[in-house]
Amino acid sequence: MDSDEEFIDNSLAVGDIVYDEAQIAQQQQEYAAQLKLASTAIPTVVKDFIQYFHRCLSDNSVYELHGCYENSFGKLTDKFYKNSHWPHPVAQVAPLVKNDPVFLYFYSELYYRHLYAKLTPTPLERFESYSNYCNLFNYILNSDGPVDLELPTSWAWGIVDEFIYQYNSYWMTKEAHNSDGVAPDTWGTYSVLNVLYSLSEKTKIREQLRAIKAGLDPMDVAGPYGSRPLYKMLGYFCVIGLLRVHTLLGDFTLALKTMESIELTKKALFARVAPAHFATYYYVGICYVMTRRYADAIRCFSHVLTYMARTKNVQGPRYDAKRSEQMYALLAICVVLSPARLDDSIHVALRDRYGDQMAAMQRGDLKLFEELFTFAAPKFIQPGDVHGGDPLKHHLKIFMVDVTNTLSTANLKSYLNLYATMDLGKLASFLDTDAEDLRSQLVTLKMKNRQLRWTEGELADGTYQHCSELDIALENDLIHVAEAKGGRKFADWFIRNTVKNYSVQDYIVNGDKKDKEKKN
Amino acid sequence: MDTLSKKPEQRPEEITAILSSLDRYNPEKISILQEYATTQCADQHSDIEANLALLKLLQFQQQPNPNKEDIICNILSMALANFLTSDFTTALHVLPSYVLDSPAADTLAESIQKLFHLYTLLDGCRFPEFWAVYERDDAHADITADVADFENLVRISITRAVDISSQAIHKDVFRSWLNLSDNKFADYVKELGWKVEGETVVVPPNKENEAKPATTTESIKIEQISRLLKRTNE
Repeated sequence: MDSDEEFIDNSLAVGDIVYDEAQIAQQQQEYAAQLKLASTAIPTVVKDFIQYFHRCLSDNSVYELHGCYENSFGKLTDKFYKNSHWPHPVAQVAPLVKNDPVFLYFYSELYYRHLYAKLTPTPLERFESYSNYCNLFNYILNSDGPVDLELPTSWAWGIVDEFIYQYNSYWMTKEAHNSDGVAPDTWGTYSVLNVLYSLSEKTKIREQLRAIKAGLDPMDVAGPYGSRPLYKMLGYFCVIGLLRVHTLLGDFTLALKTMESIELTKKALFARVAPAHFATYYYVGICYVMTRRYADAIRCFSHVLTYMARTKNVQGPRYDAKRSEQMYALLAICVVLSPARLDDSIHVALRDRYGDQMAAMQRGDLKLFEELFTFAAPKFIQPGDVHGGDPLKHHLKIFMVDVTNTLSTANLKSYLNLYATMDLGKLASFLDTDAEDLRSQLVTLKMKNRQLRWTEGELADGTYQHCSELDIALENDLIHVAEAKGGRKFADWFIRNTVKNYSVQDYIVNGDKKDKEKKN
Repeated sequence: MDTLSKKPEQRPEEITAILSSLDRYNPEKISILQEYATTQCADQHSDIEANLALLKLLQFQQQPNPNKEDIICNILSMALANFLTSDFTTALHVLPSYVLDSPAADTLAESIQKLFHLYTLLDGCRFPEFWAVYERDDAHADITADVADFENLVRISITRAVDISSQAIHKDVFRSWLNLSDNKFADYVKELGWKVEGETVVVPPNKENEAKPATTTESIKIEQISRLLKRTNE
């Protein structure tokens, strides 16, 4: 019997208000029981849900599990557990499911995830959640061969995502940096990396991706684990998880390198789960920013922001509003440091949000850079640090060197634009500066316009390219200037307006039909 | 050169094996990576990827390590000499944040902050000021002492910046950027194979030392217009 159906069938509608008959009766009974049992009582709908959920997991009913995970759990949370714990896995839920350990791992995963989202976890709860992840991954990785289990893809992503989120959140707390916490090894960096590496290795995900890239059948190299959908997805999401963990730890080059064999295309596996899609681009983009590859970062952010804007109505705003704002902020920083032409839609969206700030940043407002960076950066951590420093400030301080030196050349451009050649002494007198200082600035301008830029291959690959529409060369005191004129991209504009034109034509034609139908 | 993703030729097999496995987190590998870093200092090549792995291992190392401070300074000094790449900043990013907090908490932080200041000068191409600051304090030469011929490595990078940005440069300017005496400067330029014409050093033309803006070419992928093409067939 389907308890979800039961839940709906027994409801009574009175006007706009829906009453659930069974539930009212239950609630009345339970109110009395609650007085006795205090916090231990579980509403019947929740009890039914848990048992149904248990059945779905045991039967590998992926479609039904998807409903439990994406809908029912959230609905029941809104109804009963907005500000309180779900029923405790050991004390309350275990008896309902005959102590099935496997179900309890996955139920606990949701239990703690809900707790982290709605309440403040205690140190003990952080520890318990960590050990539940250990049990869960241990079950997946160290049973006799691969386990016979299927999960919805979005849940597989959710597990890896939440695991790292809780690791991140743990190291943001003060207790984490005192050695006398609940358990010294809780949320250890090595253990977390170990899980992620083990899953990606056991599933042969890199071999599989390489095979796909070479046009071969990934099943030939997948092995007993990687050939199962659950493992393949987990392995893949762990690679993206590694990208994120390395970024949080400030190792931006290693982060990019772990993305070996993953291409940023719409066809990539991560594109199937929207939050995975956005997270991947966000972290890759951040790594490009931190390694001074602004042109690559701009390409990354504008691609995913365009995608997000187009799919906004389908995805719903729940997860991504902040992430998208963060990426606009990073895009603003990058465009100031390395001016680039953006697609029209992104250009307009960026100007609406950060037009004034970008103008101020161009004029040298360093505070704004710091503000935007602080808002947009991930929550950096430094688990090895016993000095109680602030990793965000650390990374910002290093980043600001590049910002300051790049901006020192910003006012040159407006003069250089006007000439094909110019005397260095003359420019120095315009700018009211020392000739040798100016020479340094000019060399800086040239060097900063030169960036490592991806053209093909792995994400970390690139060649040094000149990335500005303005270029100079020095011949003693003579400055040669060249500027690309025009360079406006037309295709996007024409394609969009042609499509618009078609839809107007369609409207006119269909309008005709409707009129005829009316007459008939 | 792209130091982010290119593997240096000099990297031994053993190091490649460490870097491509979980061994990059194995504290037992510290000594091997440490030796490799020392070799780099002596041989004047730099392998930032291996050094980053070492810096991270050192952070998590439980046992006291008498060489830790020297190793970190050596790695940063090599990266500093390579200031045209992102080596120096990527190395700083993986160090604990206290090292840049002022006032410096220990001698390591003090040394790192000195190198950091030198870096900001080099990154802004303020070369004469770099040399002035560098020579004003003996501590700088001490910190970078283990990197063989450190000053010359910096000169090579400065020369590269000139090579990229200039077709010709005044002798006096170039000499002050390299911080060399007249005699040594003449030898240095000769070794580069660059010609001196009167008061000017002529930089051989290359792909980069001319003013050539990025050309924006527009390529349209078939997917972009697939909808339009489909429509024309309807």
